[in-house]
Amino acid sequence: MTHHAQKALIAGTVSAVEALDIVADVTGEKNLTIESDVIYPYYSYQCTSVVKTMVGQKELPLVCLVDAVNGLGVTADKYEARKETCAPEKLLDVRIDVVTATDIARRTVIHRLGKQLKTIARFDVNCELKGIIYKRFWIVQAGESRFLVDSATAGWYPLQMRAA
Amino acid sequence: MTGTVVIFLILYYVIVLGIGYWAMRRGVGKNLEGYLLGGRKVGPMATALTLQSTSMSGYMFLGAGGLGFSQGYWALWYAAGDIGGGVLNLSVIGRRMRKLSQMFGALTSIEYLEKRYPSPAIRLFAGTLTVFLLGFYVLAQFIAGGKGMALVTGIPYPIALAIAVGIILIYTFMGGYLAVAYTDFFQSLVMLVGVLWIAGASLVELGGLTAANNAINNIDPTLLSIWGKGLGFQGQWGIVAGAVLIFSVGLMGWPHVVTRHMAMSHPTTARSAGMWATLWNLFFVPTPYLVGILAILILPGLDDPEMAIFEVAGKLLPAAATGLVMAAIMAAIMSTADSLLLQTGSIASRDLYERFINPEATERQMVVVSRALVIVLAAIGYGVALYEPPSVFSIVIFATSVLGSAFLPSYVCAVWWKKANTPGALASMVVGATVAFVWELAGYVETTEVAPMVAGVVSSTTVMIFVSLATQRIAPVPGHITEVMDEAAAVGQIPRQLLPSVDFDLAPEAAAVDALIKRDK
Repeated sequence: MTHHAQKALIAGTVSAVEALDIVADVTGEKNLTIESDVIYPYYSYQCTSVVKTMVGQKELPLVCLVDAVNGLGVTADKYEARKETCAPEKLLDVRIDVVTATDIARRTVIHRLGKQLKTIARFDVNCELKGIIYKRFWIVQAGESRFLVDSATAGWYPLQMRAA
Repeated sequence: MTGTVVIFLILYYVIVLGIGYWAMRRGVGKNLEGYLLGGRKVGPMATALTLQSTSMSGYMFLGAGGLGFSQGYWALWYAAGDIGGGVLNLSVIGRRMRKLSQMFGALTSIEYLEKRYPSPAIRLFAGTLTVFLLGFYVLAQFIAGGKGMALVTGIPYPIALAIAVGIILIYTFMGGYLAVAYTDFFQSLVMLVGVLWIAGASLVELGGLTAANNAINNIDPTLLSIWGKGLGFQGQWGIVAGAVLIFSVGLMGWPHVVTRHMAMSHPTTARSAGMWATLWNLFFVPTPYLVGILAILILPGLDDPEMAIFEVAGKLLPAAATGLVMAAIMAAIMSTADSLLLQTGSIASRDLYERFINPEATERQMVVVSRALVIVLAAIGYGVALYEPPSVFSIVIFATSVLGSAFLPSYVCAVWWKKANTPGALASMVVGATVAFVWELAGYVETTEVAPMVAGVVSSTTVMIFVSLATQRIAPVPGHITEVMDEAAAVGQIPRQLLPSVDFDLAPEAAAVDALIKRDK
């Protein structure tokens, strides 16, 4: 018996139909179908840091997402989430533990600030785990190729190009 | 130099700070967060200009001019390699390395090497060697800054050197306050305009290039040859090859240049950035060498050839222009030193201290280690620059030769050769660095007529290939690495017309979904 679960998803703006349109636009392929969708997990952190600038000291709120499958951290724009019921077979497994993810989040934010501001400084970064947030990706079949389409950003990436 | 020069020098910095203040206020008011944290969003022009300004400056304004003054047109061998260096660097490793580093989750170039060639020994050796050699490179910037400051302000060299080192330290510790990230681009453009202005003024002064060449011919015709003054390098192709290679393939071995690729917004940015880098190089790179050559006529009694560009500017340009141009040159030197110190501090704290000495290090401790290393480097650099100052040219050539020899095969094979393994990379780094180092110190250049860079790169590449092949059974490349390399290689199989619109930030997610699909099948 399959148990469907309520998950917090980043509110996507790209529907299945729009995902087909995106791939059709870039490939020119007309024979397109939505093969399935996958729900991808990220640890979501609300981080704060202190940035000293010429116009004074600023406390900077930052969102940092850590890919819960690959463990890659990235600073991100604020997002809206909504609860959705998800079939378990569509959920990718979380492979990164929370301690590792928190460390990755802090490192990501510190590294980003140091690089962008070109300075050696202490930014007093504090990252608070807000939970695991999910994002839907559409898998579009176009001829013999597959494409992954991000439901939040409309970005796309080819899957299994070697096999195609 | 006159007081007017100093006034305009100060005015220049006021303008730069004003730009930084305006940009920061605008950023804070609107979206500082967006600027700081917009992911890996650096466009092709900014990528190219940052790469070029990081890898040039101090050397270009002192070393290149000095070489042109001393050796004539032979110096252009270095320019020839340098012109193609940017595009070669970005096209050979740029796109794939950006993608691989992202998929490995590596934040620094040394961390990337360890993830690609899994072994703490890789990080320990690469980190230590890089800190050591970047220290030399910083020294070159200190000397350049000190000499320039002394000439511009007229104050004695020891005091000027102390001021230059002090400003560089402030620049490094207060980058955020000064908004240097906002002003780098502006300063790169001023630097380009300034150098072209000096060259133009020189040509006008001498009645054009043909007239200048005729005049040089009357002094010493060998200065017009491709073999150097007195035909000193005639037939020495090993030396010529080194001169061409040092800033072409040698660039690929610089960790502080390699990390730039990780900040590009899009792997295809590499292609556009390559175009911008080449365009910049075409205008900028040969010019300081040419000014040095023309200085033979303009300043026949020049004591220190490395001051050729500063002296020519002081003699030919209006005082106001001299102040602005020199300020831009000084800013470029400081920006380079700042980038180098940041890189060195980051490697010392993250790749060495936290990784091997104190894995539980706090952010505060990491900052203390970074700053302490920077201050130690500044103190040593000040001492060396004051008492035994080598030429900027010789320091840069030495550091680049050893860095390139040690790291070039490891970085290139990391993205292009799946059989490149940890023993191969480690042996390649050790042998490449040792050969280039010993070649330089033992003076084998004179006896063999082969440049250290050539000897080092040939050795490290040969060792990489043989050791990797010989140790495939005992040290195979782990499966997860070959999978990531396959994924990166797939970029090349995407039809060209689709490349511009692919969102490469999704590569890690795509790899995970690919694995899920395969598993379900």
